[in-house]
Amino acid sequence: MTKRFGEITALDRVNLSIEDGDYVCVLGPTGAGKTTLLRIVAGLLELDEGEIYIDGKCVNNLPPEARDTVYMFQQYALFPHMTVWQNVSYGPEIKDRDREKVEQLTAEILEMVRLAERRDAYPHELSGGMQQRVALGRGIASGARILLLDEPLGALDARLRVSLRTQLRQLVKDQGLTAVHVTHDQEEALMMADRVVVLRNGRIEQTGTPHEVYSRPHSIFVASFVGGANFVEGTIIGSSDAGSIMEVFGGLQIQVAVSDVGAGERAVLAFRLEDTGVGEEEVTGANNLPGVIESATFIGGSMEYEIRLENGVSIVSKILMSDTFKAYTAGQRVVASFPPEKGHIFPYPVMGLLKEVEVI
Amino acid sequence: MPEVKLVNVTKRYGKIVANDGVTLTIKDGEYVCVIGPSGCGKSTLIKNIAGIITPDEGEIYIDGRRVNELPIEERGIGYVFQNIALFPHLSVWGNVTYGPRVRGLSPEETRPLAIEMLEMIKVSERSDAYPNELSRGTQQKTAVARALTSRAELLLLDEPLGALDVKVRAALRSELKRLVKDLKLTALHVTHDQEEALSISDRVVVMKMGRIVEEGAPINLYTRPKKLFTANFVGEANFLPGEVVKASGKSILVELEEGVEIRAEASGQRMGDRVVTAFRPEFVNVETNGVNRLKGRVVDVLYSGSTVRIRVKLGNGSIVVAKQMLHSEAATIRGGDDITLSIPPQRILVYPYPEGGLEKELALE
Repeated sequence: MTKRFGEITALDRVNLSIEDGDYVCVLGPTGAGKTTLLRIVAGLLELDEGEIYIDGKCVNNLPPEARDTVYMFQQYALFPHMTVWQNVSYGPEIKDRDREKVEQLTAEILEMVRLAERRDAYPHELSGGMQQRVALGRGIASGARILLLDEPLGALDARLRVSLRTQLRQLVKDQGLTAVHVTHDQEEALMMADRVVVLRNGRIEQTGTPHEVYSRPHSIFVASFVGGANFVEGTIIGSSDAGSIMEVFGGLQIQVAVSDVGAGERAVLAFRLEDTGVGEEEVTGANNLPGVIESATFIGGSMEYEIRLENGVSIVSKILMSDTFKAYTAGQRVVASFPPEKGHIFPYPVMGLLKEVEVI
Repeated sequence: MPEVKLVNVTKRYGKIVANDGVTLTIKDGEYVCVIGPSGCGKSTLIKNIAGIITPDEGEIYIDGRRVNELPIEERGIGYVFQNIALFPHLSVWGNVTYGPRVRGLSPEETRPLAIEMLEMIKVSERSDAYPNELSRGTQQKTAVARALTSRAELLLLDEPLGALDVKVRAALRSELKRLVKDLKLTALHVTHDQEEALSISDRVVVMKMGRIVEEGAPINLYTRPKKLFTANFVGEANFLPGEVVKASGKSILVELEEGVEIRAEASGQRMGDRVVTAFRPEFVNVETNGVNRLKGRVVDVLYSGSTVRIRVKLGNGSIVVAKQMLHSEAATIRGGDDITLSIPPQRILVYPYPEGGLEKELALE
C-alpha cells in the first residue's frame, strides 16, 4: 500500500497481513502513518497504489460500510442527544427492523461492556471510560467482524487506560473479532497485541509478537522506540563463533552475541535498561561496567539508576523493586552489568546515532 | 524561592464542590505533584493559586502574603498548561522574550535572560524557528522557557506534558525536574499520570472529590499508602477482602473468602475486623517455599516488555496478578498451569473494609 499527501509519502509500499482473530497493534511515533493505514483499511481514504484484501476479496473499490469493518476514533463521536441504549442500538435498528432481535442484541452488548445499569444515561453524564465503552458497544453492535481502533484509550486518564487494556483485549477475544489498534504507547502495544507492527516514516520497521519485537529488535529505532535501551558507540574488534567483542570509548571491551558487523567497523551496542543490573561486585560471565550512581529515580514499582561509567558514558539501569531489591544512592561506586546475550549490535547508522533515537 | 500556603480553600461550581477545604503547604524549592482521577479538583486547585479563579472560602498565601485578591500578573508565577499556547506568528525567540518586553525591560536586559532560558531547555539552535516548525515536545519546552523568562520563582504546571506522546513525555519529565531544581524554583505540577508524578516530584498529593486523601514522598506513598484509595490509584495492587481471625503481637492472620488465610504485619487491627488486604503485583512471588502460599490456576500470561504479568485464579475464585521479570523462572509459566504464589507478610497492606463497599472504593470512573 502506498499513500501520498502532496510531497509526503504517508505510507510507502506497506505489506501486511492480519490473521483472522488476531489482535494487532500498530505502533509508531507521531507522523509515522499509523492513522493513514487504519483509515485506508476502513475505506475512509483511497490508496494511491496497492491492494487491500479482506477475506481474500479485494476491497479497494468497496465503500466503508461494505467492508465488514468498524472504525473507532479517539474521540468517541457518540450521538449526544441519544441515551446509551439508543447509541448502541442505532446501527442494528437501521439494518434490521426486527425489534425483538435488536433489543436482545443491545441488552447483550450493554451487559458485555458493563453498562446495563446506565442504559438510560446520556453521553455527557458518563465518564470518559464509560463513553469509550459505549462507543465500543456501538462498534460491536454494527456486526462488523473487524475493529479498527485509533488510539482507543488515548483520551483517558493514565490509570484508567492501564486498567482498560486487559478489558478491551478480553472483549475482542471473547467476541472472536479481529482488531487493528493504533497507538503511540509501546507499553500498551506490548501488553495488548498478539502481533505488533512498528511503523516509522510510512514504512514497517518490524512486525512480530511482542516478545520478538522486544527481545530481538531489528533496528536501533525499534530498540529505542519499543522498550528503550542503553546505546553505546564503539568498534567491533573481533568475532568468533562464540560472539563478537566490541571496544568502546576508553578501551573497555564488551562481549556480545555474534553480529553481522565486521571487525574494524563502527557499531552501536544496545542493551535494555531492565537487563542492566547494579551491584557492588562484578558478575561472573557478564559484561561488567564500573561506574558511579548519578541519580536514583523512583518510578513506581521500579527504580531507575543513572550510572556514569568510567569512560564518561551514562547508562540507565531499571530494577523492579521486588522483594530482593537493594537500594543504592547517588555518589555510590557500583558495577553495572549485563549478560552478553542481551547485547544487540547494529551497524553505525548513516545519519548518526542521535537521529535514530531522538524522541523530541 | 516562594512558599505557597493554602488554608481551608473551598471552591464551588453550582452544586459541585471542586475544592473542599483544602489545606496544603508547598515549601520553598519543593517540587510537588498533585494527582487524582478526572474531576478530583486538581486543576481547580492550581487555578486558585494562579489567580485564574478566586476561592469561595479560605486563604491563599505566597511567601506569607495573602494573595486572594491579587491579580494573576502580580503573583510572581509562571503558568504552563496542557494546550501549548505559543504565539504562532512569533519565533521561539519572540515568544521567549515577549514577557520581559511587555514588562518594559530593555533589549539589553532581555537578551541574556532569553539566551539563558533557551540554553537551559536546549533549544538555542532553534531560536529562529516558528512554533509550527517545531515538534510538540519542543513547543512545550519553549512554553516553559517563556513562563520562566518572567523571572517567576513559582512554576505552576497544569498537565504540562499531557498532550505529548508517551516517549516524549518520559524524556521531558527529567528535563523539567532538572530545570526546576537548577533554577531553585518552587513547582506545583498537576497530572493524571501517576508514574510522572512519582518520578518527578519531591512530594505527591493525592486528591479525590475535592479533598486531599493523602500526601507523601513518592516511595512512601507507593510502598506504604495509608489509604486504600491511594494504594489503588498510585500504582497497581491486588485487593482481597477478609476478616481478621487472629491478632497477636506483631502479626495478624486474615481469613479471605472460602477460608484461605494470609498473614500480615499488625497495624492496630483487632479480631473480627473486616479488612481489605492489598499487595503490589511485583511482590507476589511464584515460588512454593515462601510464606503466605496461595494455590491457583494461571488464567493468562501477559507480556509487557521486560516483565510478565501472570493472572492467577485462586481456589476461592479471586484473581491475583503477579508481576515478574521476564528472565526469571516466571517466563516459563503458561495459561492453565497450576501454580503456588507466595507473598511476604511485610508486603501486605491492610485497610479497614470501606463503608461504601470495595468495588465502589476501587472504581476509577
